[in-house]
Amino acid sequence: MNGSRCSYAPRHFRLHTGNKSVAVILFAIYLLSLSTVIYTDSYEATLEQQRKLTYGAWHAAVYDVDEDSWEAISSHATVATAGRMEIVGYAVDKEGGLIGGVGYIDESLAEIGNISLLDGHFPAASDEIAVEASFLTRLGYSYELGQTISLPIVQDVVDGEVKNYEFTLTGVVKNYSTLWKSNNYWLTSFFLEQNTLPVQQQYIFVELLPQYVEYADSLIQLCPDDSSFVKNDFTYLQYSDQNAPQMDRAMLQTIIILAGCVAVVILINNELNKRKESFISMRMLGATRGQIIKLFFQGKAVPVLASSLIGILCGLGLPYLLYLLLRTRSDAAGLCFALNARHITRTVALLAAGITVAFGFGLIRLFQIPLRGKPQLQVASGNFHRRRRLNEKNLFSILNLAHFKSSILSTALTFATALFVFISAYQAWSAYEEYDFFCRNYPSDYSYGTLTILYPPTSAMSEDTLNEIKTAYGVKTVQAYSISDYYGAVPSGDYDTEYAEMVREFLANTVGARFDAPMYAPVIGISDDLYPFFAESVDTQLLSGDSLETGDVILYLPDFFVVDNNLINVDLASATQESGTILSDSKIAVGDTLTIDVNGESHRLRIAGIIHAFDDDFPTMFHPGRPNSLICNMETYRAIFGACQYGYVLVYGDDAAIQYQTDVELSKISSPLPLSNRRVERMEQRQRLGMRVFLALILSVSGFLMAMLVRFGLYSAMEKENLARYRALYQLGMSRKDLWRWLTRNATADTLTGSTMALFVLMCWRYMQERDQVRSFANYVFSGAWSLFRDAIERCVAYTDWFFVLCMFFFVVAINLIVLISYNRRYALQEANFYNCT
Amino acid sequence: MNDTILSVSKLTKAYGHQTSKTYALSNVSFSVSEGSFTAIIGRSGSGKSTLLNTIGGLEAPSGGNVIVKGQDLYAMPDSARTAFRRRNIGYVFQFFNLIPELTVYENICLPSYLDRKRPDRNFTDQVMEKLGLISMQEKYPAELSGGEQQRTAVARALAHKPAILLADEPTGNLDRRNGDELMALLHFSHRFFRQTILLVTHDLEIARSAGRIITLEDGHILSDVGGDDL
Repeated sequence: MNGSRCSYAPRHFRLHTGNKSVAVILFAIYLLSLSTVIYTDSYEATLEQQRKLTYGAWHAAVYDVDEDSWEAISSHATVATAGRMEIVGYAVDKEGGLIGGVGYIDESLAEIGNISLLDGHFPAASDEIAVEASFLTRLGYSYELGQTISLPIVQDVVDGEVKNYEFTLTGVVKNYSTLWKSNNYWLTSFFLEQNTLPVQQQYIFVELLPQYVEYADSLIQLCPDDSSFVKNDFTYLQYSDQNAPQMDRAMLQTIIILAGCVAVVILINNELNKRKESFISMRMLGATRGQIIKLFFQGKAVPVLASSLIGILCGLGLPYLLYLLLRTRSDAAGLCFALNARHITRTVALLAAGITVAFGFGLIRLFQIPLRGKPQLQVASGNFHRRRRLNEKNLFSILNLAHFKSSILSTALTFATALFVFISAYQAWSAYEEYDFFCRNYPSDYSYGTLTILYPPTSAMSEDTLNEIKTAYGVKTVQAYSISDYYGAVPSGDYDTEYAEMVREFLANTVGARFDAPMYAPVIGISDDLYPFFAESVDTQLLSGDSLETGDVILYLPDFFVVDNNLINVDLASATQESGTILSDSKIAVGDTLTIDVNGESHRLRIAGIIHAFDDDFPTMFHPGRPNSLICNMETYRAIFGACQYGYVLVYGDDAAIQYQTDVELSKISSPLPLSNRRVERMEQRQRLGMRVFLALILSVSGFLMAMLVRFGLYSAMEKENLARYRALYQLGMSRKDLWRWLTRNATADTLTGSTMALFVLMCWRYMQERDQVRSFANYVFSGAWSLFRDAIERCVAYTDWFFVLCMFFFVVAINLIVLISYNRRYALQEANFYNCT
Repeated sequence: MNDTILSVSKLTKAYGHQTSKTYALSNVSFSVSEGSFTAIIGRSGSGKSTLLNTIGGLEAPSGGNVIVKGQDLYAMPDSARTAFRRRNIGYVFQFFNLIPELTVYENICLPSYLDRKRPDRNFTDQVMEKLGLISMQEKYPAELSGGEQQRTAVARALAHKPAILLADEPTGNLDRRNGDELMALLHFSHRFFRQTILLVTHDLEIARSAGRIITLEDGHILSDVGGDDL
């Protein structure tokens, strides 16, 4: 036996196509898994590298830091590199407005901040200057090196004294200052040699050692009280809550490993089925179980090891070749090739474990090979002791007993496929909804100010600044909100005292002041082009035309929910608990007047419309938030307050303009209201959406393909037995139509069961999302597990896009049915017809 | 007794394409009377099983026609042909083709259930009794011996009273004793139920027990001997 075994093994490898299939599958699993790991790691690293190029590679910064703190921070154990920026003054334009910081950066900062030169060099003498490209344009200079730059500088903003300096331009710096997270501190846009002028402020930017990246907060205790500490969450997403790539990698790997291992099990099972008779014969001739097992696995060893090794090499090599190919492209800035040893080792270990388990299955089957017996009789040795008697109605359900195992497998495969499709597609859909929500709620390209929903504005923009914005480069349209403080108001008619008391209580809790008058109201002046948004939400009205009449107001009387002893405004995103009575005012009516006292002067306003709740699609950006808000036009506002004090300004850019230049121009307009660049945020959201959709497609398609591969593998493994059954039934007179109906009914049942199970898991996942969301609300009143469950379920029902879910469900059911029915049609039925009792 | 129940006329069955056609049957014509027992013999590859499958409505011929009980089998649409053969043709196969998840009794009743009809319990009991299956009617095929499995297959073929019973090498998978017993059963059925039987075999000894022997060779009828000539 020994001699024949040695010579048998290589011949065995040549003869059995099962080895080739196993080798191909293993090669594919290793290749796909490692490529996936490297792709996701590289993609992640590339995005981070691109963000580093844009927003700087520093992890944290402390603005306005003294020398002692600088020393303490730069020598801290967690810090790898510290970069210094010194501000010596601020450049002013012809009108005296501050336009940018003047100062010095050291080499470390230039390196970790990726502050690079488009041309020339940084200054090396006190009469030299390097300037950010957009600032040269703004001051009317070209990029020509060697020209003299005349720069008015304010060194001390308190005394405001402007001094003129002349420098020789030695370098043009790539724009960076408007992109960095600066907490409204001026960054250096005009670069001088160190010690050219006395230092007014200094900042420190640090790059942390890799092992301490997560502990950036530990630097806070070294910061002076009046400094500002920021973590660079523009570049490092671990400082924010975005962890999508890890999840996608895990999902992809799970699919590949699971499907691959199942495929190996199927192939081994098929091969064992084919070789069972010869193994039985060998056993009869005296071979031991050990010898047969050795024989079987000896034949597998070389192809398994060789294909695994080649798969690993190709899995590592092919992505690298792709990287080399992509690197030659001009738009490949920041492209990274990441080989994360931990991820790769873990993947290979997982695969090896999975494959070992898969081969273990073969081992178990080999142990079961009997010593003797007739193969065809063993096939039918299943135990069918059961059940009710056969009659003319239950034929199919009894025949299905034999299909129970394949039905479970088919259902499980549909479930797995549907789950991947559901979750990845739902994530993509959520990303789309997020993007759509952002576009609807933040339609402008820029906004000044933050929506302080419940509080009076702490600062406002003047008419002059607004005009400056209107005339800035690239600005097309400007919409503005004027928001006043709270003033006492007296309605002419009756009013609901209970509601008024509730509002007072609410304002006392939120604004921190208890008002004495029956009504206290802020006045909100809106530009005419904002009027249509409000008109949509007005319940009762005396409105006509495209704008509010002077002297008319829309009164915002929000509906309230009572939650225990707290009041929550229904219109706010945090209002989740609908467990109390809705309180609303029904006594103040349109046509009534309101008298508002401002600085001792009374103003009589007519209530032309009342809003109790804003429509769902009302942009959050325009939401007045404050109860009793009196929304009027700008003329009315000016008539009451003399001038507009803008609390919120929306700017729409001109598509024909150079958008980056508009960014720079607007950022240089001095305003007490912070500027948000919605255009860039929108762009980033769009990129995220694209990425998510792409990944969803990859996940869904690969999930489907893998499931199909496994499904057909399983079918082919069970084909012999099933075909014999179909054939017998056909020969006994079951019509093809009945056979077709039976198989289709089974396929439909398996598909619907699997898809419904996946839908249930999706809903559980949604429930967990909503439960976390509910818990995250600061003012959520936790009154027990049942109440949390109920609130999360309510949100789950309300915030799930059922139309999309149903579309996905039917799509998955349809695809699975098409696959199953085509299989039945192509193989089962034709084969059943073709095979004869020869 | 002399009414023709099966008529085969110029039956041809070819496999392959135009250039490489192989004829399994070539212009085969014969007829079978009601209540007769006919054996078809021939060597392997002579076309006997193809002939039986074609007569049974399982495999469409390339030419010619098969008339069973006056009906041209291949002039019917597929669904009608299926129903026709379900009601009029009984099959006994070499490998029994029993359904493993059904009991002996259920296997025997299966053709009726496929026809959505309640089986004739009295007749089924009678068949089972005659074939010695009463005591094992609740057993599953895996619990039976080869001979018992084949008896069950014969009972299944007889239970719905077919016009003609086609047996394809029914003893091929049985030992001599079980084979003889089965042949005795078929003769008993032929006599007792007046069952028309068409049997395919390569065993001359078995064929000799039939009333007529048709010999096939390379798809042609080599001889057709019956009655006293036999």
